[in-house]
Amino acid sequence: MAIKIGSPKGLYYYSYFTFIKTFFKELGIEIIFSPDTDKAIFEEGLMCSESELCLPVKTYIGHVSTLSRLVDMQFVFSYASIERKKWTCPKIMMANQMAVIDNPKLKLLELPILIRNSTTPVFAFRNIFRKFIGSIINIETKMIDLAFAKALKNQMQFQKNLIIPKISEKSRINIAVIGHPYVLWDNYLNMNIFNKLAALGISYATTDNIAFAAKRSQVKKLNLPREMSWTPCEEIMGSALHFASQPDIDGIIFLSMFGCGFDPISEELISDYIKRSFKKPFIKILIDEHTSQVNFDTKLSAFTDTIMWTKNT
Amino acid sequence: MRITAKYLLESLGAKVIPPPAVSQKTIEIGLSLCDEQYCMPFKVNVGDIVRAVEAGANTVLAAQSEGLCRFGGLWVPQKKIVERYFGKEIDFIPINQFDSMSSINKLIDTIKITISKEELIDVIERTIYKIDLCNEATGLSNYIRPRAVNKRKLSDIFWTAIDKIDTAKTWKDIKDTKDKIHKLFSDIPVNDKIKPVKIMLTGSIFDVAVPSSKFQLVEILGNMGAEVIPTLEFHDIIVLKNIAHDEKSKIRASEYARRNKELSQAAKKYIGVMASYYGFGGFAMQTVGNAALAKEKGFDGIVHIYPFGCMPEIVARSMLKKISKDTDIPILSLSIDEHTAAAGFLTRIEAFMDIVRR
Repeated sequence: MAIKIGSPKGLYYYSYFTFIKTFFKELGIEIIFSPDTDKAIFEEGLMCSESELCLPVKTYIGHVSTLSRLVDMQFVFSYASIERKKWTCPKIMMANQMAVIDNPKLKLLELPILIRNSTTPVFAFRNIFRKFIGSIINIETKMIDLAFAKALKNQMQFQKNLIIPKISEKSRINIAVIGHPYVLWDNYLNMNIFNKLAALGISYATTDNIAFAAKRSQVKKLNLPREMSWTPCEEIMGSALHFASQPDIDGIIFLSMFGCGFDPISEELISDYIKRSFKKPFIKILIDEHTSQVNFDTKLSAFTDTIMWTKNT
Repeated sequence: MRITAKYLLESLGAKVIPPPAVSQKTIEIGLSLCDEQYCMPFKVNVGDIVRAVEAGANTVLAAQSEGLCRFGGLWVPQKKIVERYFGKEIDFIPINQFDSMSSINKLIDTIKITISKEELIDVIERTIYKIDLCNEATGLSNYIRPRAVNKRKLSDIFWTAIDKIDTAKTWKDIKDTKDKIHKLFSDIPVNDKIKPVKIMLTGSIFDVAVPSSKFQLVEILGNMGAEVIPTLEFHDIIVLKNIAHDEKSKIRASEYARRNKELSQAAKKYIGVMASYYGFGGFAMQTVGNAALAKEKGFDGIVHIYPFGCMPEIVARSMLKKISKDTDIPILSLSIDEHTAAAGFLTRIEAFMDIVRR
């Protein structure tokens, strides 16, 4: 019987899933991904991890643990640094180690991603994959390179498609939702916010709809005395400022996760600026494991109602 | 920390206004201004800055680093919060952990004084010597406490010693202080027959290296008859040692590097290759390494202390559970936040000590 290989959905999987899927498909390796987050996976994550960890990492650990019952082996990625001169965060970096510590039976093939010190991130990425895949299966480097190139092309195309604006002229108001990719793409963690907005007849744009360079150039406008050396922080700040300067966006919702270390910093640095310079409504909705749908809905509708009233008068 | 920073600045000719000692009021000011999700040191620090500015300070010295821990960039939001509170601009001078010299030069520019390079190095040397003295006093106190017959007097003597270090100005004064401290401590009768249990204190540097940490953890443990050995010292956070290029500081730097290598080797089993090389923020790699080596080095128990919301130490906590199982050593993880009450804290330490003694 062939060995079943899986990979958990979680954290930066949501940014790079096109790449990951194409890459392994090209190499002829079949990968089973864990199912979308649901209550069972979420609860399992809560059971298996420290109480003070942040929600996305807890959910990720739940995915790893659930998947371990379905497959024999898992490809996991340790995202320590996905951008030059920047870190992600200690918890994301160590998520796999924490999953293994609690459950030593897990068989994880860990792929550390650290391109902080390299001048050419693409080549650094390729080297990481060459080394990693080469160490597991006997395959020619050329094949890996080909698969990598194809995967990269698909990923680029995917990201380009994302940037096409979703805002339609017909809807009554337009709202920007900012947050980490692993929150925005996970409908369980983000409390199904996008379907709810759509049901209210509101069109929306998210952090992922902005080009990478645009976000980075926005952060420079803040004139911070010191550059923030963390990717999650920059992403949030950049997208918030971008949306604040767009005239067709009527309000900004910041989905903040309990336990995230960078959310309070980002909020502190941008909220004043947005309110003062652009006079745009800005709300931070904190989600933790006790947040209920009803609670969330109330906050959401209060915010959207306020915007509609101000717009009509 | 406060003493040494104050000395450095005063020697450079600045007027130093230290905030009043951390009290409930300081913490409340910090809490009222900050988002709940910041870590405890951040909130207390904001309270401190507000009180110092109220007392007349106009420039704040802040630490900065390049690592994974939030600490590195925290002074930026701090500046924002404090400026909003007072409605005026307040200067922050960041001291970069790995490039202290250029930071100090910038500091000198800001306070507008002229000082020769030799003089500057001399001042820094003296500052480092003072840090050493503080460490020595802390070490002596930690050694004597479990063995002392009269423990009550010890705390007073410790703070007298720290005061002495604080007031010493010239080289001669500072060198004399060393003898004075030893004399002070030798006054306490010690029962050498007592063999105290050895407890390792590890975790976030703010709680481990600062003797006046909130709940006097070291004192409580010491009074219960445990010899507490902290794993981190002031040296680890102020890399002033890189500045003076003499033999002594070179030895110190190489010793530091050797110790770090040993720790990362020990921690590798638990945190993986990448993290053991780069660390994962703050001093968490050292925490895991120290804990893994604790049994070999003859410790009877480990107290792991960190502020609520500290990102690297939470990760370390997961690893410590495993280490405790593997090496069969009791570990107490304490997360300190503004709601931690002294009584609950004491109960947990007592229960822990009962387990260790068995």
